Amino acid sequence: MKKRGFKRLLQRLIFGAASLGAAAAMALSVPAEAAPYKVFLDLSYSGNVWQTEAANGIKALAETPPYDKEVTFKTVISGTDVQHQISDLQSMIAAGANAILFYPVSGTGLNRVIEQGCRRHVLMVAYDSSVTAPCAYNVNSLGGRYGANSAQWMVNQMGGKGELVINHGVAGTALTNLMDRQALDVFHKYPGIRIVAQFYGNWNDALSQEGISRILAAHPNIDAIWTVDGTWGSFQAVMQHRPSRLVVIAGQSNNGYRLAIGDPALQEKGLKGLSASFGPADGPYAFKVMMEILTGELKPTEHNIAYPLPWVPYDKVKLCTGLSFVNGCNVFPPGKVPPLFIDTALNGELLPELNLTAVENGTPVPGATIQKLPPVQYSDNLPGVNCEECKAPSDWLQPNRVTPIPAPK
Amino acid sequence: MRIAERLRRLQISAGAAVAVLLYVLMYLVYAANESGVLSQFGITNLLNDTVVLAVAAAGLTLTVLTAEFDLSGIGVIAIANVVVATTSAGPAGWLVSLFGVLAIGAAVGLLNGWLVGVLRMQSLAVTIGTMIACEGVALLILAAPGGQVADSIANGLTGDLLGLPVAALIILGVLLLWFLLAVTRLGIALYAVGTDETAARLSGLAVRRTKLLAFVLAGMAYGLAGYMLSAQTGSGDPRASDGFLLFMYASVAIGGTSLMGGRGGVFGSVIGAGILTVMQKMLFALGAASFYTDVFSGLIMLVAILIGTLPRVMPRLRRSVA
Repeated sequence: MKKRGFKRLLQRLIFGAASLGAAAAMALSVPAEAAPYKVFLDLSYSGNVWQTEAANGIKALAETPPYDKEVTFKTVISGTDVQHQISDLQSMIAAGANAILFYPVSGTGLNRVIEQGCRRHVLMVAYDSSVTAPCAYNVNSLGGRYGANSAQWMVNQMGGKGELVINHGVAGTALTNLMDRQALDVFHKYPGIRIVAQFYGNWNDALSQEGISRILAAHPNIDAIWTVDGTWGSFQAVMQHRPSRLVVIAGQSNNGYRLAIGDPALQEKGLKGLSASFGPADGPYAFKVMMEILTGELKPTEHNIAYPLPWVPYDKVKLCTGLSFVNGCNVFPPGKVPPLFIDTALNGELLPELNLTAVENGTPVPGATIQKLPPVQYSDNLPGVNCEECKAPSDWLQPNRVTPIPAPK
Repeated sequence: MRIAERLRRLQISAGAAVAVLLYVLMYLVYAANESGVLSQFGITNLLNDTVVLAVAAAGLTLTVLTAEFDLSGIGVIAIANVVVATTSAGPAGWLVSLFGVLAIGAAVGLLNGWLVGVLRMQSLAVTIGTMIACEGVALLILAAPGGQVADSIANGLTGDLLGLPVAALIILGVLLLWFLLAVTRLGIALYAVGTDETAARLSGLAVRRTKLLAFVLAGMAYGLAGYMLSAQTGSGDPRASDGFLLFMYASVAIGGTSLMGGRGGVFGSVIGAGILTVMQKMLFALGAASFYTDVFSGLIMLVAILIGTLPRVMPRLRRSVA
């Protein structure tokens, strides 16, 4: 009796699996309407504002004419585990991808699977983070030299002297190492700049807020905070513990932060902020670059392609009235978006196809069509970061946007 | 009956048997829905994806069997990865770096085992400590992704040997070692200590030494896992193993090893690792939206554990009904 019950269960299981398989096979074999390109988006982690806005922007573009007819588009989330991303990339290659846009979990760990893809003529494009595999394209803002330029901007604002806190990003990542080297190289040129504390805020607002609060207790007179991300949290800590005397600060582009640095009342209390850092719009931009390479419109001569570094100092903050960044506006009024919304998800010039609704919901803008990109710019080659056997430009540590004030001899 | 007896002697539990069934099912669904699964390319890829987790989970199983926690695995893997990436392409070569990472794993395991087995400190706390310390050491050795893994490792271990994927040979080797271990005094002691430490001590088993050896062997397995990870990625990344710990524990649990110790075995954990790997491929082939992968891994784990515990729970349930 018992045995027969088990047998029946087994039969049902097998039948269930077989029908599940058959149903899925049918679903997959529905002919896509002559969309010539099979394109995958491979995200790493998801569920944070940055990643979501980037993914939504890409998704909206994929559904904007004429791409909506040209691509079958699929998103996969691989998480933060290198092995998982390797496995997913393998699956995409095996599934006959023409192109894969991916957020690399590791700068070097994916190289073997990337080469596997290239050998099978899959166009491999990494956005935001970079990979060193020579056949992949990297599309990011590394060439904007955030580390050097933001540090120099701060030094200029501080008049070359004062107490500084450094909020590093995530230890062990190429980006953090690079940004730190650039920034420290600038700060060390000015003996008047004293670095009184450093910590790893992990690009995280909560951790940064806690870290700055702790530091403020020990060093109540700090003048400036340098961050790459976790800027909003760092700023909140200052607002909480020392609201009458604010700081010079550089970092991310959350809407609340941009509103704050543009607020004359806060500026009077000493807030001098810079909103720069890598923006989520890099994802959609990389998607357009990838599509233009795929369709043959764009034939890049190099593999490191630059997305211009968003750069909004406090005196350039300009309120938008509509849903798009037009006429040089770069921040939304309070209440229109949450304070943590990242404004650099939009780019009026390079991504006119997207607006606020598109990056919030991943839906295409009604009536929008894909506009051809202006000629692409190339980025700095940085050995070990975005290439293997290559040479960095001799001035890779120097600011290329901000003019340095003279350093004391 | 005789088959069941034989399986029991090899320490293949009911949970592991369920896991095998589940694995076969998923593999069939995966193969039915994606072309090229059964090609040499497809099989080698799948095994290369599995082997790191399988070897790491095998090591973890040894400590779990003795009813201890071991979180240090990802720390050892991180060190092993950066050591291979910084030494193997140089004069050290593949063999020296292999012995190097095995020795590092053994040393970390020895420290864990000494603190837990001899000084009787809590394993959870101890291994959190060694995990964090090891991750710090990995960052000291290689501050950012980079380095170069010798081609002999990167190509040799991810390719084929005598027509068989090297990853398969390594998994088979680990299983063979396990089956040999399981019938030794140490193997039996692992179960005895995990089931009832006091009883094991009273019956004359060397509890301290058993735990110490379990941690040392586990550490060596993590070292080997890190070596295999290096082969697969071809480079070093001090954070490459960050997300790995939960998958290691999931493999052990899905494979039918009780986290309370004393029940289960390495065979199940290897299958558990295989399930987690093939599940990702299967869901991709089925076109399931990405978030479902997490939902599925969780559900499958619950089902596997449930089925694995049924034989023990059923009599109790029946008794409570009657």
